[in-house]
Amino acid sequence: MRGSGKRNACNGRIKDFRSLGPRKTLREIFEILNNFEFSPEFTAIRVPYGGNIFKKHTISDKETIESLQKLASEAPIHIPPTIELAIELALAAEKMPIVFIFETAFFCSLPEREAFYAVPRKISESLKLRRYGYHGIFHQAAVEEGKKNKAERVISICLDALPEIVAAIKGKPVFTTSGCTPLEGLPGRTTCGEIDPFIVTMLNKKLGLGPEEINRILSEESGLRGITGKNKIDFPEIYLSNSPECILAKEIFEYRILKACGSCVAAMGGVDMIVFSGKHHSLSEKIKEFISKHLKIKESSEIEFVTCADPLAKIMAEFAETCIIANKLKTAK
Amino acid sequence: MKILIFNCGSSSLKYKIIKMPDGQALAGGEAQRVGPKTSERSKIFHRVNGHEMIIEADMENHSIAFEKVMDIVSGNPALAPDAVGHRVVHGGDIFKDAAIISEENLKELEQINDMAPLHNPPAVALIKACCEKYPKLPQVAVFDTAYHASIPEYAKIYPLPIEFARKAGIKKYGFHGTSHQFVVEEAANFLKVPLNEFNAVSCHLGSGGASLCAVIKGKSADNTMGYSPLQGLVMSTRCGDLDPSVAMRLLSRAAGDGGEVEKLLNKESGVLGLSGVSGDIRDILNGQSAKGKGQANLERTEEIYLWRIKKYLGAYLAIVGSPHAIIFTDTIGENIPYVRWAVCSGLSSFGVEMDYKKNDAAKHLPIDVASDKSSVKILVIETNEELAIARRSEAALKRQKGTEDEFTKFDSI
Repeated sequence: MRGSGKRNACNGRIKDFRSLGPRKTLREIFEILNNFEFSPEFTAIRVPYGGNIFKKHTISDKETIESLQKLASEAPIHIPPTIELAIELALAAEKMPIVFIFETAFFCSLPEREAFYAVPRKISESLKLRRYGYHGIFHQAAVEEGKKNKAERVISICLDALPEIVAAIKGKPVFTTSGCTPLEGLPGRTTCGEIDPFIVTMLNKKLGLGPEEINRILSEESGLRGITGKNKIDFPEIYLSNSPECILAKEIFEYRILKACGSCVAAMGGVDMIVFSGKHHSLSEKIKEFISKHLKIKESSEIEFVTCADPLAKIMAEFAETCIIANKLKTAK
Repeated sequence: MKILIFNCGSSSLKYKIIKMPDGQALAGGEAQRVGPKTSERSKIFHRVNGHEMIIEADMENHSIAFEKVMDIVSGNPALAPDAVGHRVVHGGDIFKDAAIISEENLKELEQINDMAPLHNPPAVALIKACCEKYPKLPQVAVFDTAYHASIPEYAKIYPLPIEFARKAGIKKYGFHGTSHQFVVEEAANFLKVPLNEFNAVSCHLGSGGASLCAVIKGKSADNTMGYSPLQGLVMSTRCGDLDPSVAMRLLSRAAGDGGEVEKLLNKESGVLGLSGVSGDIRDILNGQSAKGKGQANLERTEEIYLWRIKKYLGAYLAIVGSPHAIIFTDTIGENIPYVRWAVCSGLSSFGVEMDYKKNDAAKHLPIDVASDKSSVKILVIETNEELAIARRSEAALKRQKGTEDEFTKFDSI
């Protein structure tokens, strides 16, 4: 959101969106904004899934809504409430532009060699198995940092509960640690990350566990929680505590980061900039120190490290603004 | 000392008699189509001094195949072995080095059969048959997993609930260790670097299985295979890396039948699953003349196969830090210059520069195909698993003899 002239921000959370429904929710939000004498010029809505249709962030209009409706069956949890919200928003504030910011847009150009799994094609096609990539908004912000500094080859490290490392050349992704879901890749707060897929079938055959039970173990009981045995553990703690289990968790995490960075360098033929972002961006100093010490490549001394501390909303506002300006220029032509 | 080496495949039994310490192969061969009768009769191809004999014989299982092989071998007194070395795929948590078979450790070995259900049981059955028929002949088991016992904890542990994983024996074991160790020793020797200072990335690219091994100070520091040989690279029929949530979806789809999913990921995926035509990457690389949709499919299969190797090569070069060499070995690694070239291109950040002409012309192994300005050597080395097993067996026997001598000394005191 933008205030008058200079940027400022306020934020909040509506807890019972589902029971209130979009109309009442929006009424409440506008009421609050009014009380603060805050009148937004445009709205950005985050959309977690844009399928193959939305390759960039898009201004809402009749056509866009229709395309979104076609996608609803592919992401039934995310798309319908997005559409509802946009329609109600258009009714509540008729002239205010709405921009859909798609998490998946950044990854649309991920090459097939990176996106495809080596399973029979029929199965990939029928189950839509491929790497989708996550945290697209943060990674896009990272490559924007790269563009500002004329850095073509960027490693983007999103430090989140589900951490992810992406390599992008000239703004386009060529490598990501995450997979069909964010479960693959680096270990997360409670997720296992990349493991031998055989472990899944072994747990089923040897221990008689069903898919739901296995899923619970791998996504809720693993990662930092699994290694340390501490329920409430999170990334900052493994960098603060000296307990053996926290040290082990940190070693595992950093080792995976180093491997991923090596893959990124191979994927891009080098690296110019490493950008940190996400909820735990404050850990970037320590991770930077680790990478500088261990990633021994020719251009080591020239790598620029940048930390993007912006929250998601601010990045979204900037993308939405760019989208609106571009649209104005286009229609003016 | 003559060592008879057995390498048990699921339907074959390879053998070789090697004279140690010089490593000369005196004879060798392969029993094919071991198991239930197939359309063709099972045969033994026996080779001595460049001559091949083909002997037809029914061989319903590996023990019978073993007896037939022994009949042939014992017909020639010059071949009579002093010891037997067996290749065993999985050593579990118990065997961190080659082991001389005793009654006790044979029992332990039987208990870990389910960790490699296709490979371990026939090898163990063969060891038993050997012990029964030749109780005085020392038997040594050499494990594919043993070389990887040195992988550090942080690379070995899967981030699962730690106690749960420990109890279930879930961790990275790594495979192809015998081959990786062999080519690493050969490479250090070739470059005249002391083994305990030698750093490398070893690429065992077979036409079936394939794995990369990160080597620090001569020891394995990581392997792309994991708890099982399924993880890592795209292989002939194995998928390699796969999002665990995909494995879970496949499990739900198969109505909870883990065996069916295992079969899909182990036997029907990889190069075969992607291409739909062949599980041999050489067929894919050679099949570029096909037209239409099939053509695109072949190209995509090739790209995915090579890309996965390249990603891991980068990852392992990073963790090794200052590698002396990248090593290529086994069927694909030794014989397909294009694969070596494709995965080494664009790695100049790591100081890797290939001499393309040398690489193309590489015939007489071992050879270094790196250019003069490359700070990392690129070696093509012939793997020789039988010789590797002979070396490990000999070392194990010497160690035992050493301890026995010690005991004798004490006795005499």
